[in-house]
Amino acid sequence: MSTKPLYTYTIEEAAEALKKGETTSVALTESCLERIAEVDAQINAFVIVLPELARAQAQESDARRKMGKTRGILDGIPYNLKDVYATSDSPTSASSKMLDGWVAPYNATVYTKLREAGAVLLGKTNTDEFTMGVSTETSYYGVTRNPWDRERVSGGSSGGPAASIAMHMGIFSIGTDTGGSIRQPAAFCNVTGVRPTYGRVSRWGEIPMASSLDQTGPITKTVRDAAILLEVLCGHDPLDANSSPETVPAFLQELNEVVEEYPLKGLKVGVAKEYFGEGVLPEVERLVREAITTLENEGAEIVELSLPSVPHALSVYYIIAPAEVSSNMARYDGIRYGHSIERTAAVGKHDLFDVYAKSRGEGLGAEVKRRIMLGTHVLSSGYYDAYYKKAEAVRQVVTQEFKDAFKQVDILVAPVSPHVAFKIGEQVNDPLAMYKEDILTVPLNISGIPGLSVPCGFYKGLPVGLQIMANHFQESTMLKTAAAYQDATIFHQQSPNL
Amino acid sequence: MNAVSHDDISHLASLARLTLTEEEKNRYAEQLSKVVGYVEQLQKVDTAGVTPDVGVTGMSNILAADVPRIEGDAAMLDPETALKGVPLRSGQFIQVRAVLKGEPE
Repeated sequence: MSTKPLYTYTIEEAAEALKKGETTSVALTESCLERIAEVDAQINAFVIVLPELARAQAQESDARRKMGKTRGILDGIPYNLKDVYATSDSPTSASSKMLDGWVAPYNATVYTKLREAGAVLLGKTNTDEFTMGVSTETSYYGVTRNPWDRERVSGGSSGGPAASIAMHMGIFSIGTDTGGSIRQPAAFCNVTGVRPTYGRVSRWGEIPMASSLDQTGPITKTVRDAAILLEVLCGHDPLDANSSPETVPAFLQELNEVVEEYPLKGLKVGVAKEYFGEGVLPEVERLVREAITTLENEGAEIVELSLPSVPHALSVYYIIAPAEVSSNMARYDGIRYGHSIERTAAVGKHDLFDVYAKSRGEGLGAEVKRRIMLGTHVLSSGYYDAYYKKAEAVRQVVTQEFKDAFKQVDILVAPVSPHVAFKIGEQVNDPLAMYKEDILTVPLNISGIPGLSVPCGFYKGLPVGLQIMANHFQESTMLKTAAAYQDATIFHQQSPNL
Repeated sequence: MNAVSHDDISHLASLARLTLTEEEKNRYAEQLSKVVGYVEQLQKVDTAGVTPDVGVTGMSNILAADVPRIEGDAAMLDPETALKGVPLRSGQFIQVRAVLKGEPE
């Protein structure tokens, strides 16, 4: 047994140590809590740390294990949640003033599943406000700094989850990906991030941004850990009408069945030229091309192809996402929950319109308001056909191109982001530049296909991510590819020297 | 059609129930014009013969079983729990300012 600190363990290592009786859930949890206390002041990954709750859950796990009633591989493993899941035992804020201090009346399915699996919740991690952003700079609680260079962003919106795992402040984290919010921060922070097929993981109790695009997924230290979590998180939930009834494969077992020599023999890997267009940093392209060569060395066949409509995906996204945002955010009305002038203003000085408009005006941040306005515009009378309807039509065109591509190849590979993590404050006053950050991640979201990011090298000390995409419900294929890539490389084992 | 004016912003803010300052309105007019100008590129994409569909699951008309929620069900809340975030209450009711405008008293 190695003497490395418990907080650096993967899920597999921690589960093995628990099984052998070499450690306890309480010891793992205390190790992570100490780590958070030691380093998070420099990163700001956490919105709230929940030591009492974590200790109680860890003690329950150890008690179960003693009685021989352990619940499986996640039992006793400490983790954190992106702060967008309703939990009735702790606050949920979506990193917004609107929900500052709010405690949900019920539990998200994601949290219920993790609790039932015995995992230990350490706290909630930072996000752009209501997940709207690419850098966590729109969070009401301040930016999460990149562990590789604290002058730079951690990415977003799941910047807190990604930075926390890079710094080992939790064995794993759970985030959401609406336009790249798991993959891009994972790439910027050198961790593994998986966005499953739309509909795989229940959205019940997940604070929504854009409902036809939102999807939960794991942020982990390895692909194998992500496979473990997908088995727990995926599955049909009657409480989410878009939840998929597709069977959930035994993802980890499938990875174990891969043959050692040439694990990717017979796999066709597509490389679309549109993902290497203008704006992609040459060094990023070089590292991704090297990763493609690694896949080839592992037995894969590389197929060059074209997805001509993919460059339009960003425009489709920035019509459909704000449209859905403007609708979803209507629930914050100053009447039912969240920030309200009814709590502060003198009685009788305001009418109903004021309750709505002032509560929202005070409680929501600049980016959220911008997207509500944009969404209201593209849905308004006279513009609906030209913007929203057109965007939904182009969405079908892009989706069809992906479907056709997956008749020729098993997976597609690309960069996650055109560049490495950018400097804090560099782009905050240019929303269009910020929106363009999503250019290589949103095509997947509008088509609903699964994708992931794995570390594939460094440029000037900053991590670069390899994006691997598969056809609807073909997570197994992309996990096998990514696991084989991690077997052949050591980039994912690098940790920042803070 | 892509410029968004200060007046447009005032109208949208009213539709979206958002109180904005003059400074915010000026900034949003400029920023939204830029974004809307960018997404104009979609007009060039040929979508003749494409049936616009919303979403990508191919699923439709997903219905829940018509049975009452029971206690312990994840979607079941007792009134006190459901109402705990409400800022202005009157017993088990949510109190709301007058919806219809008219003569007071």
